[in-house]
Amino acid sequence: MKKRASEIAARGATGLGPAPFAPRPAPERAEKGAPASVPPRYPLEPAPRALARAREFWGRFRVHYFSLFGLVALAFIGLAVSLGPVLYGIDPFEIVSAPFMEPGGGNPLGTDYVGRDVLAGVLSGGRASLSVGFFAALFTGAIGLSVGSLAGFFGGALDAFLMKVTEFFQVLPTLLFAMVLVTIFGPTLWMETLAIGLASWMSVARLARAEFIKIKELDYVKSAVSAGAAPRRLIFKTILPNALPPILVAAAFDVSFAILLEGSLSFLGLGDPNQMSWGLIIGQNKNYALDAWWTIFFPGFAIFLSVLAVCLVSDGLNHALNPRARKSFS
Amino acid sequence: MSEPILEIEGLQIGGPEKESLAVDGLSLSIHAGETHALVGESGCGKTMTALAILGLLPRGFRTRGGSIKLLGEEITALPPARLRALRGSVMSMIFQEPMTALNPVLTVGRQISEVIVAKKILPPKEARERAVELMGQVGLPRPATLYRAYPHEFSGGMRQRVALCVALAASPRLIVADEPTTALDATVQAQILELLREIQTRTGAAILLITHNLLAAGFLADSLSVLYVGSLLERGPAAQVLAEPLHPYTQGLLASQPLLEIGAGALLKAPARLQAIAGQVPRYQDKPPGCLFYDRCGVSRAQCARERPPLAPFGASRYAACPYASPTLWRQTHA
Repeated sequence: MKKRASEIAARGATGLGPAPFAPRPAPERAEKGAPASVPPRYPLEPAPRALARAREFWGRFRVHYFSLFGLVALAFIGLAVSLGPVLYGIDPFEIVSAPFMEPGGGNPLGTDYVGRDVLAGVLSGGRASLSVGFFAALFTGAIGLSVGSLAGFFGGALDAFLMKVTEFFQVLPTLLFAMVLVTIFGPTLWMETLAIGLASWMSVARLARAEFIKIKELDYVKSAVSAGAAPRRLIFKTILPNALPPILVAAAFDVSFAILLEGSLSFLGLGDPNQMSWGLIIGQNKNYALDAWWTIFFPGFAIFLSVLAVCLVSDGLNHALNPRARKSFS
Repeated sequence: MSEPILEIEGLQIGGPEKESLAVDGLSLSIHAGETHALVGESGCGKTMTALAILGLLPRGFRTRGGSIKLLGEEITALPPARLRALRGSVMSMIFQEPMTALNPVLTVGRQISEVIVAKKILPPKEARERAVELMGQVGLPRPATLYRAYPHEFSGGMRQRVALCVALAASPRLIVADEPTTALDATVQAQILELLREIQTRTGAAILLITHNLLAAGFLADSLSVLYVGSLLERGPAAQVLAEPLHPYTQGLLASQPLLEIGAGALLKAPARLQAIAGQVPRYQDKPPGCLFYDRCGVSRAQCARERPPLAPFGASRYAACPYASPTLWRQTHA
């Protein structure tokens, strides 16, 4: 190192102006003047609270009015189905008046073909539809993420095997597969959830795999490897957080898909018969659709509105979760 | 002489095609506090060498011969877990592209302190302090504030400083810097090189500098190897090699540089016309039978096409793989 000082001096003194890489006095560094033995100590600023991060996320979410609308609609539906049945107080399976009573009058949304209250049905039915939708999407995400991340990260034979399994599931018609599972294992709410999850995890798996394959080739992963990171750390700390936003968005969209699937199963009479659900109401009244529109319109609209709300919210998530959209540090 | 930090002997790296070697017979050694530069055009096996040292060769590539010794430990055939333990703590790497070398979803400070914690050097809280300290040492302003910042809020130069912190976090003895300044603009390049040297002075780490920027090599390196299609064409003390290149290839590389000012007192004027080396680097899969540089060389004779000249000593400390290697030609044209 010593010889360099003279070399540089010589280079600087060649008279050709400043040498390209000749050291210039660095004022900042000179002021700091940190001797090698006594490193400077900097006080650490307090960690940003989770609240601040949540606020930032919210700030990016709320600028999308449609997503905001979706969130409001979802909150409204959630409140209605959780508190509604209690407040309304009418058993959805109880025959309360004559069949096919028009909306208004004693029954706000009319009665169905046996004289059950449609509003009570819509309010109670939402519980099954929404909870199955939510938990099925959770299940979908869990399977899809595990399969996809393992396949994408390790590649090779494991990847080939897992992708073959995924393709095997993918060629099964979704609804038919769910129907078969529910028929075999019994029509309970949990079975419906599992069946929907098992029938629809493939797209998340493929997405997760693609993200992992893409990200594991990036420099920051290589840099983590060169800093000595083990596979587990790479998967969970380095790659997963970067792969998560699109997967979360896909999983949120899956909620709406699961709501639709649950509706289809119930419509076909394969849902839990002891559990009121939107699909069940529509399925039971389908023959009278032209005479008593309200029997299928209101549960149908409830499905439409929840699916729309979930889609809009997941769209908003997409915007808010993109790390590159984060505003600059100040 | 003390034991070198890194010692490579006759390293051979083979690709998926069995016969051809991407790196063939590379030898070098770096002692503590020294910098060795590996220069050459793209596709000459520089990065392959770096990846081989860290045990990170891409799929299909592996070391087929020779040895790489890190602090005396043979590392070409180590189990993955042992290699992982060495990475970060004994050797680390700086990548070319600072824009992508940092994890976008973690704060920069976290990326530095994580290495310290993972290597069990310090508990989390002290690791944070140490990271802030490192950030201060590499010249990042307001390190305590920037600790919480995300990489996308940083400029290229600042990111490269952070990447340096990550590489330095566990005080490695060997830093492999793969084109650390190529993606940066000129003034930032100078700052980063200066910083690298400052760090080296402070930590006594050995640096393997991979670059095609001869000025950077001249600034930082003590010794220098010129690599061409995986083989060494010239090796020697950096100042001497750059002042009086022996091999026609090294001479060609220098002549194609826009500005030259190398070595104490030995000043080279910028040539009126830059002289590019004609032709292209052959792929390592189709190496010519004779001298690798034969078809692009200005002084080659018929004999060069037949047999490949070995790396031969030239004076006290220099080597060149060319029977016609001579500084006289260079002196005539460039002095």
